Amino acid sequence: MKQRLVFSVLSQRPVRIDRIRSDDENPGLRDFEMSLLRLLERVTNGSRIVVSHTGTSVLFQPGMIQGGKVELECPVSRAVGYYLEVLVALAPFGKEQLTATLRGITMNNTDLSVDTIRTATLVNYRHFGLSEGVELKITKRGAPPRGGGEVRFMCPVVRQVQPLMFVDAGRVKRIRGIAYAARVSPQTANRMVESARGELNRFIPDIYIYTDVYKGAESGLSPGFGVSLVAESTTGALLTAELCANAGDAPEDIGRDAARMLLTEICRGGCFDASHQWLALLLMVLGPEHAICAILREFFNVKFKIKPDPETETVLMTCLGTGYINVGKKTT
Amino acid sequence: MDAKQVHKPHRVHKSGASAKKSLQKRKNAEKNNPKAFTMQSAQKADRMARRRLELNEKKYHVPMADRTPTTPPPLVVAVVGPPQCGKTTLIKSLVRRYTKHTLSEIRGPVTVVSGKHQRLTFMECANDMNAMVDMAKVADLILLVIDASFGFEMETFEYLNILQTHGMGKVMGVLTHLDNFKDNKKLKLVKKNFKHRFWTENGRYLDKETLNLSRFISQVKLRPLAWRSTHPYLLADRMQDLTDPELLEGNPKANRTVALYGFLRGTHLKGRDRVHIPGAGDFMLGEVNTLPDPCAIPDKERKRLDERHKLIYAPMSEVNGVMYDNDAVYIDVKKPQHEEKAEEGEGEKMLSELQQVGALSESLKDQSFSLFSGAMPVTAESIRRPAVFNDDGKVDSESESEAADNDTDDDLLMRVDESRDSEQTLRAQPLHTGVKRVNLMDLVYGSDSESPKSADDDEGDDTIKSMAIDDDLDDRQLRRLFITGEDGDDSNSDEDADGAAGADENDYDQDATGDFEDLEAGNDEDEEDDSKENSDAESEEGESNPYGLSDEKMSKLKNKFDKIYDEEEEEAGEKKDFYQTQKEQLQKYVDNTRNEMDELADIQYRWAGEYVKVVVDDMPYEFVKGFDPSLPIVVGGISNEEGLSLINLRVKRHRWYPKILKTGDPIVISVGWRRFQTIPTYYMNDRIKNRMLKYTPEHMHCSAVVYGPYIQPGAGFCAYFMQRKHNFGIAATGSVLENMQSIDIVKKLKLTGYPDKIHKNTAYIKKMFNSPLEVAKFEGASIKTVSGIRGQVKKASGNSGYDKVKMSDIVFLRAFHTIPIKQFYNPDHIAEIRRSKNLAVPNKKDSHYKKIERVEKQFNPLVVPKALQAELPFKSRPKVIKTNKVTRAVVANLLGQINLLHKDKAKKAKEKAKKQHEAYREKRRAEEAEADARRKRKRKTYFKIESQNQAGGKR
Repeated sequence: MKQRLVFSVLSQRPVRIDRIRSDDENPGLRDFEMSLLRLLERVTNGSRIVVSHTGTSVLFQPGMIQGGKVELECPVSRAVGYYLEVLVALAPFGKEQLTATLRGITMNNTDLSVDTIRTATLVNYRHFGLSEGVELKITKRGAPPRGGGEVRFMCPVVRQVQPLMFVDAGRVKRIRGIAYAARVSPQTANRMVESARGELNRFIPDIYIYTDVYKGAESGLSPGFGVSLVAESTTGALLTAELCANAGDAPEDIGRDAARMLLTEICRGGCFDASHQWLALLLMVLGPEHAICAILREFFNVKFKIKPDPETETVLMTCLGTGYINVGKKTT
Repeated sequence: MDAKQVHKPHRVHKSGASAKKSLQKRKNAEKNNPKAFTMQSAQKADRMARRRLELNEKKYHVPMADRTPTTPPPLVVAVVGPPQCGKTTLIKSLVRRYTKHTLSEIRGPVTVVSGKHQRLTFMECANDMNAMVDMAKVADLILLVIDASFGFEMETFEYLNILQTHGMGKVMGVLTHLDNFKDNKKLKLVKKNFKHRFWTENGRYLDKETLNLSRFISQVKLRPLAWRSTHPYLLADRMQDLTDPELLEGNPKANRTVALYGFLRGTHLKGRDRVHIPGAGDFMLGEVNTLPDPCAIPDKERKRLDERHKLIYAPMSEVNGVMYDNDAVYIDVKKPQHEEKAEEGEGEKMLSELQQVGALSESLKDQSFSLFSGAMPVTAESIRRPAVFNDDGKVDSESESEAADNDTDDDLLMRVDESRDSEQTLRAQPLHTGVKRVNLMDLVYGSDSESPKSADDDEGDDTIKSMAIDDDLDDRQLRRLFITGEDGDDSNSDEDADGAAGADENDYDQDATGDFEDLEAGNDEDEEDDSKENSDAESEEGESNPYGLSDEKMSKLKNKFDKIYDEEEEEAGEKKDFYQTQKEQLQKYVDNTRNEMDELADIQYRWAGEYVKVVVDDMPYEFVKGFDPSLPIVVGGISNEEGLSLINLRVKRHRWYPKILKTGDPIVISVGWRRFQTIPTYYMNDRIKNRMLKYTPEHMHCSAVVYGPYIQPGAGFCAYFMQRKHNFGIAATGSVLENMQSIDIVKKLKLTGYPDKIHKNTAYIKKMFNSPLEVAKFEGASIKTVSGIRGQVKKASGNSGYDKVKMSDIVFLRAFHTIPIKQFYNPDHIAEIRRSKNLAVPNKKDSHYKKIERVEKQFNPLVVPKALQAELPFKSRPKVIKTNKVTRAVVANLLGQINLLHKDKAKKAKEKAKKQHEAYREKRRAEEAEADARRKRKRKTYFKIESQNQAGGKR
């Protein structure tokens, strides 16, 4: 649903989503989906959202992406990353610079954590010519279940994204990461770093995992800790893995498991990891007419050439961009 | 009187201003011819050099990607000019020059092969504003035909202005009717004058002159235009009505299915594209087929063009030997020598018409098209089957309308079934794990790539985070993915085995190679290739090591080589300037795309340069009915320019348009592929607010808001009225600033009122508002009187000011009122409707201009009191003069009387003041006396008590 709404806004075509959990015990939209719709309404100008009486069907008529200052209280059922992913895809095509303040859970194990978005997703933007002025500031951490975190996301607007030619994934040259802890002993972060390093040091010595311990008002309402790892390759590909602690988890386990997840991700290879593929493909489609997914075709009428590359055991996806131009951006 | 009259020459001034001026002239020689004096000073030379650089810099254009396909579509040559200036003759003579064919009449585009690598499509532009606009959007080269014996005509300038706003193609001026000039000298002069305005000028219909013109055309170099190189479009050179004839029997005005043929230009078509056909509307292309090129360039490399390769393709004009089959077009140029086409007799004409009809029904036979999406393709045979129809042979209207409804819905609305629980996590499975060869394209898009709905399966996209941990990772394989790991496939197993030593070595490797690896990461594709080379080299080394050197030595050598190589590249990089690097970058992208084209072949796009047939459903019947081959049919692809919004424009009334433009007057705006009628609201921003303008400024830019489809900002537009009103048609030009959903444009609102009751700082104002509710809305608003007293609206009962308001003042409330923008797209001009229906303009009584009647101010007569009159000298005294008829009071010496009155008044006032002062002094005196008495009393009592106290103390 999230991606469909994003594509609908970008392609300016209305979308109707039917039979939302119609067979479920608790049918209809969930609270986080409602607040996602609310967020879209705030970010755009002229959107119309009609939710059916039972909540199982939504009609969304997109307006233009406005940008500007947006604030949202996110329900604790999903992390802030869920909403941020939408904003990351939409914000560059707005009318004015977006400054979004989101409050809620900053990390959990279903959505991307804010650290990964900051260190990988936004850095991936630079392949498409977006680097200046993109900023994600974590003012408060908020661990589940009660959250209380706060992030500020800023993104400038562009007229058109640059084409991408990214075939060589390269080899991993360094690993960076953030081990964060809020409302727990500061030693927790160090313990996670130790165990993660222990796992990764066999492969590469250039590892640096920052510890980020939050105290007092900045640490949200619940205790929690976790680690987010980013492997950077020689050609600039970023592969990520992250793990967030559940109640009763030992920091050592978290660090080790996150490191193993990163290794799994590296083993899969590719220029974009699983969580960033959709964004990369979307920006490729929106790019101008030279560059290298089924759902995108419905909205943008673009087909990808998908070619498995037996050498590196990855999949090469090629498409001709639609030459999407931000019609909302003002010229002088 | 034969001798020329000789005038006396003017006297040359020896002194004074004009003498000084002539001296100055000699001084200015340096200024007028700076080149001659350059080398006199170093500073000047420096300045000149800088100027030259600046001029060179100005010549740069923003680099643009040239995406012309390898076999480019024919150049569109538009022949434009006022009526009777020889456009048709020019095309005919050019066509004859290229193909040895003489066309009897030109209808629609004529495509000819003009050279080994070039084809041309000639199109005559009708003298209609819409046709001119459409033509300007697709023409690559414009031949502006000018009747030299007549001079410039308005059409020429109109056309130039249209071109300017839609991306200027190359323009060539062609002078005709030069044979009218008998005098060679005059001809020269005229040519010179015209030349002054154009770059090129060209000849007549003589073979030599036509040849010259064709040479000019072949030399023309085109700069890609941004709009055209990013949008697919075609100039249709053939139109075919594919509608089921039985459907038309029932309803002759039913929407048609139309096939349009033409060379695809711009970019590729993707299938199911949205297009705009100016004059008809937006459509979704049904079927797009590539047909064999009817006017192909000879495939083999030849020295010169053979006669039989000089093809001509003009399906709408009648050309000898062109024959249509279903979709194929056969061209038979049997007799290239045959130049003159015999006049067709009436019988022959009828026969050929009959043949054309035959061809149409032939083409219907094999045609298949779908009535609605998802329905079975209907062929000409299948139409006759009773299954589609009801018993009585009529189309089931209900089911049809339902299907049509669905169809339109599908067009506009994406439907998604979210039947599966979207909370499930998508485990991103590595796609390569499957051993068997699966066509991934089939997997994703479904085996039937023509049905896009089949790809509608849900992926539970809400969660995309992968949490997989693969416990049995191949350690060696993994190690290869790090820069510290070994490269080749045949790696030393020893290194893997021993832990610490291996790690040490890795460290060493990393240090040694880290330097250049970092460099690569920072830079672009240039280095990517480089790194590939490196890795190639590395792998080679690992595999065989043909030089028989130790690994350590090899790596040292390699580092050395890399260092030198990198430095060389850096040096080369420094020499390139910004412009060149940008240009190269763009070219690299284009080349990459071109290389990928072959790979993309199975995506089944239609590439630019192909001759295609597009089928358009639901075409209004007027399109077929009013079809005129002399008007261009442009099919322009649109990407994200569909939704309706408010468009902000920067407008300037055209300086040759005789009138200023009024807000609310429907105007036709031509922008992008579209031309649409809309209602503009003109406004200007004065830094605080957007203030509505009733009329555009005369010589200034202003902004305008119209309601229409999205258009990319920066696009140029021109505006004209549906009905030509003036000699010069283009009313305004400008560019698109932004698309938006809302805008605040205000206009002044001035409420007036009159004082009713006045207190000290409060006044009750009447006639300003009609109800207390209105007042409540304006509470706190500032108001002002004519005399300049300011105040504020307080309550429904009154307001207050800073000063006392006079009864005679008028109170104003100045406010700004946001006006709603009229959201009409393609509205009708009310005046035009009235004109067509012969209706009178409604006569509103309130709108009449009335004579303003002002009441003359009545002043009272001057009355001089009798006592005073007595004091006046006789001449100043009012006198009563008795005439024969009327007794009239004569006011003599009015000023004296007024002075007297004033003096008298002043005297009285002085006396009064004196009296008042006297009274005041009297009062003061009394008060003083009383105060003295009081003090005395006080003193007396004080001393009395004091003396008593002292007396008591002594005792």
